Amino acid sequence: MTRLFLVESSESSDPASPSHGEGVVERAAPVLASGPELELDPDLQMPDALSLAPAANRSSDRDGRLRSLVDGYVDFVARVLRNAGTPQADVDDDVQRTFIIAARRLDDVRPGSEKSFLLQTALNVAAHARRTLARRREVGVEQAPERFDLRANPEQLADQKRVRELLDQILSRMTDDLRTVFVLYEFEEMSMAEIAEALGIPAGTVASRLRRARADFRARVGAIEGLSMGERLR
Amino acid sequence: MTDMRRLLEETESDAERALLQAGRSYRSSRETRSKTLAALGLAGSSAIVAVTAASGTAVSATASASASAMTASTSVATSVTSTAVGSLAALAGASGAKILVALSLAGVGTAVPLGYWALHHRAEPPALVRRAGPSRAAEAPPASVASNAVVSGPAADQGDGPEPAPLPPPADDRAASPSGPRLRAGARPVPVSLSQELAALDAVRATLARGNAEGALFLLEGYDRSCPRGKLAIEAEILRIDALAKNGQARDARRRAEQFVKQHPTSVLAVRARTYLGD
Repeated sequence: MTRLFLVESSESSDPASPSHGEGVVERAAPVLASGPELELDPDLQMPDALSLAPAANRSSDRDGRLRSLVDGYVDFVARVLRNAGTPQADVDDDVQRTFIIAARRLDDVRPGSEKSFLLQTALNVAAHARRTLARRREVGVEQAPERFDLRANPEQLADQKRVRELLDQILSRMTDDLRTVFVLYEFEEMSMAEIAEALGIPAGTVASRLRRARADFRARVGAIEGLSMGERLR
Repeated sequence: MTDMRRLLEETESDAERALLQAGRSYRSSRETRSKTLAALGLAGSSAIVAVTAASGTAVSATASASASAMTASTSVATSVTSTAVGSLAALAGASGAKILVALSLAGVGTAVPLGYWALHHRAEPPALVRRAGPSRAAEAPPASVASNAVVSGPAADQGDGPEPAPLPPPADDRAASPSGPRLRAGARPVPVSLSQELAALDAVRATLARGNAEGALFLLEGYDRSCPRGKLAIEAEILRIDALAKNGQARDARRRAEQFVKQHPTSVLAVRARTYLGD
């Protein structure tokens, strides 16, 4: 049956726009000074997209720019969301949320800073999704941890779905700060300078987080690889 | 600052390599882009790239005249000509997809199947509505609201091309003209499809965007008659609040906005309603 939702009521508060970053022109910054939390002034949650009587020319320009944003960055946004912990089933929704927020702030995003802005927005949306997920799990039945057995079943590495599950598990156990830098550097292949600028943190912090994130990643992969050995020794 | 080599380039672990590649290679689904454009209100002004419906039938979207940025290319099992809105509905139907609809972005560039409305209005439309453009006499009439210069593109195209997919009869017999060409007496009501609802509200929005609040309210009355339990009733109500406010009926707008916020406090659209509370 066809169902079309506007938004799920339990997740209806849209995540925040980025609260910092180079992509936003000065005059808009104070409006977003509410920080990284998602409980914004309700008025800020709605995109300009919902303005009902846009001037035709402006609307046309905005439409074109928005469309270019979607065309250029939909994969990027989806990947950032997914690797930041958004469940596969929620990626489409959160891609939409990210771009709706971008539409809301489009006039404040300097040309050339779109990727950075979308990145910050997507990270905020993903953080919101993780918190929602965590709340759901608190009231739900604790799921048994997945058991991966890479050495006994190395063919799992050829199973993309299985590998993705494993990656999800590893990333979900990293701290948010480490995971973000790791994902941007290793998956998005952004430079440390780009990451520093996009996240609004010093370059040295990016480097140290990356080192720790790598150590974390390798340790977790190693642990999973070793699990099967322990199992077999029993 | 010299960046380190990426881990994928230096790792010797098969597991690490596979995991890193999985992280890099993730791509959005084919539908994600279309759904996102729809959420931004951009899909209505352009063609949505073919979406494979649940039945395996490919739906080919007819590119509107204003659709320059997107290409509609499809391989079809059964080729069905449709509007972008129709494709959107097919998309939603095919995947059970949730689409966060921002109803109002596309402005005046929206191409929607409006013949549908002709079947749903007994009354003459307000002057502003009628003046909006020529209608396609035989199957559409009086209330063809979106035939202005921008929106008439697709209709012109259709003159040489295939006709739009036929619309089913309206859901509500009361809404139809007794002499309506497509209805038989006693015909069983057929539910209005989502695509028709979307088209109807797109038409409302387009009318409102041109400053014709009275016409928008008129169309919304038609929507209420045709879709008494419409899936997009909430969106319609928000449009009505906007239209009332723009039509100088601030008190009514406020009353409805209060009611809306009370009934849908967590809806993302409640934000829109609150703007009319005037606190």
